[in-house]
Amino acid sequence: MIYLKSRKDKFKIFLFILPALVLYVLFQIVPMIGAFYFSVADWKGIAGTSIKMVGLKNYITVFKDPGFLISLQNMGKMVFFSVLFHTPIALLLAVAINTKCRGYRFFKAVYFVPTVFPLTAVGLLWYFIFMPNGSFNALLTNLGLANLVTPWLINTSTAMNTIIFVNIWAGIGYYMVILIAGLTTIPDDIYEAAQIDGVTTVQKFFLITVPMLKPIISLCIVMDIIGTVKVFDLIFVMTEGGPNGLTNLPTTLMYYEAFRYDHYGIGSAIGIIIFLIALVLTVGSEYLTSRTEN
Amino acid sequence: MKRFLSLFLAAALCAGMTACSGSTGSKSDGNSDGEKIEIRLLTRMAGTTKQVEIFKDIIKEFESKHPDVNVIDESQGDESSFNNKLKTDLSSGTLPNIFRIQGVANLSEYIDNGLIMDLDPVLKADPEWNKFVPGALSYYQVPNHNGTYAIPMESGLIGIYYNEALFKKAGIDSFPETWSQFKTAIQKLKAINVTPIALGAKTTYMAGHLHDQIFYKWMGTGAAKKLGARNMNWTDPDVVKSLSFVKELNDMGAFPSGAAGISDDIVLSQFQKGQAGMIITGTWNISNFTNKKDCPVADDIKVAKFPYFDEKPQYKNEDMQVISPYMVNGKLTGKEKDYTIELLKMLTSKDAAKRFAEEASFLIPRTDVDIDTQKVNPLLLDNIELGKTSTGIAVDVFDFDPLASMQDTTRNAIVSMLVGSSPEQAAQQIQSEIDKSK
Repeated sequence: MIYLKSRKDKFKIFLFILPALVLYVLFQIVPMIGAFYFSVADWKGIAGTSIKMVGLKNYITVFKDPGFLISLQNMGKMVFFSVLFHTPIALLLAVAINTKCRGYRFFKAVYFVPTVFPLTAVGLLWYFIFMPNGSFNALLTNLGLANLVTPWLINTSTAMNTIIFVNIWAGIGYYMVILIAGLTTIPDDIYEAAQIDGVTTVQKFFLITVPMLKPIISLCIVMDIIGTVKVFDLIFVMTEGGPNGLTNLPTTLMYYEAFRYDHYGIGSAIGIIIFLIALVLTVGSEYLTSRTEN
Repeated sequence: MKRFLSLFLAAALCAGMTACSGSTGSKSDGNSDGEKIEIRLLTRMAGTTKQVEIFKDIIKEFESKHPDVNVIDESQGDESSFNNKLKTDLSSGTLPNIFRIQGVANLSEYIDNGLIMDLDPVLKADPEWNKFVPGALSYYQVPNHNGTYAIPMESGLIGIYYNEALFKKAGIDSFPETWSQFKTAIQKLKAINVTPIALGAKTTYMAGHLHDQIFYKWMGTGAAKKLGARNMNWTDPDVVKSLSFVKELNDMGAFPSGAAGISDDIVLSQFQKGQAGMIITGTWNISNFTNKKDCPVADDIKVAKFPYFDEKPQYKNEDMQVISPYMVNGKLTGKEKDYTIELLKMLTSKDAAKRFAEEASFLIPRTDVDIDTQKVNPLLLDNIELGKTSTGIAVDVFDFDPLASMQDTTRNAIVSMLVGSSPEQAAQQIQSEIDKSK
């Protein structure tokens, strides 16, 4: 810990913090307070009109709305499967690439490419693949598997799963790069010592790599949860929440309520609920991982 | 030196940030101090089409006439981007000078807050400009408010554009006039492996427009007003019946497989390539049907009215038409107001209407347009002729509803019938949105 004694030093540090602090307060804290305020108010979204305080009415309306419950269910499913697949697959890829096998730089770039694209572009790309007359169905037909052809993005049983798959595909590279960075911090000595002791490759993975990467893995999981709860663009481009709200997430519903239906109160209430969910999931996952560590 | 440099960097960062956040977008409302008057436009006239080119030409002409005016065109072609921009402007009190809001009944709130100008005095003061089709102009006479709150800048029948060659190939000699003939035609088109109706309901307006057509032919345009005024329910048997016709078409395979997951541009392209027999659309797509490069079957495309129901001949000419508005900011004063109205007049003048019609097949509903029929696309002429026979016109059914959410709610419920819901469930879904707001 560095102790700052002189006032001058403290002032200097404060000056450096100030820009980020102002930006953070202006664009994070103030809107958050605003969202909370609007979530207990009824406002039509017209400047200068009266804002009526309605207490928890907006929250009650939201929780009574079957569309919101479907979106919550979709979000839960998306978070669960994203956490289940993102980090484990990314870890396996990171370990494989970290062996510096032939062409590892190429594979690293290839796996990272989806992360470079904006999620809207990724969504559009996969929409053309999965749309009813898209290339995936054409491929199935050409392979003689016409019985498997289905409208992936509108079938009740496949629509959300398809989007979850795309979300996983698009995010793996990002977590892989973080994990590769984590892998480089594990000293080679440990692996060498283990090898002398006759430890197999699989044992090395589970007894050295995974435990040593635990902080990074838990960071990936937390980031994954927050990122998945906030997904908006993918749904917006691939299905627009349809058909009939089947693939809505709370984020898309929030947008529709506020910006299409002029229900700023309800939209803000959904925003606050998303914030609380992200908070609970983040704190919960932090608690779980720290407990395992202890 | 290093200390000084670090302090300088931090101060520069702060200064830069303050400069960024300090701008409040102050807007000049006069040119007394030499500043230009700003006129902001927020329309859907964006992109690379001919109509946008004409729109921009008129703006340039206006600017060259008035060097003290700066026209800022913030128009957005994409519906979502447009809505985002409009809602942000409404909520932040920075409404543009000329803009558009979809719907009629939902305008009350904006009128009550003085956001939309009553254009009646302007229309009365200029009889030469006031030559708009009465039906189109009266569309913006909002219930419970005196005055006219928009100038119609686009009109035209939303009908069925069909591929005559495919119809003939299927053994259909003329376009079906009645619902029963329509269903027979669909079956015949299916028999020759052609998608009967190009409908991509991922872009939900397509399903909405289909139901609008059916609704007006089944119950007349007046019924939409009754629904909006709450004198009728979506769960009423006749309304449910109108929904069931959409379901009937879906069940008989009138649409492409998986229509609910296909977007409008994809089905439009199918129709342009001769893979689909019909498409329900408006005059805005005529230019897409005449360019042989994009539409090899251009010569075969014809336009017709949506068929009427044999048992409801009284609604034969109750038609869906597009009517798009230009609205003027109700808070304008002084020179800024005068300039804005002048620009509005230029955009909707007799000369502009002629140019839009002849060069872009885009119809401004004026009675005094002297169109050179040699220059105009035949499809547009047919559309104009068909439109003349309308006894009642309306845009979307939800246009008469005061709830802003009805656009999505009705369209989503209609799409839900394409993926398994019953007409009763769809009707209930829409009605519950209304009940929720009571």
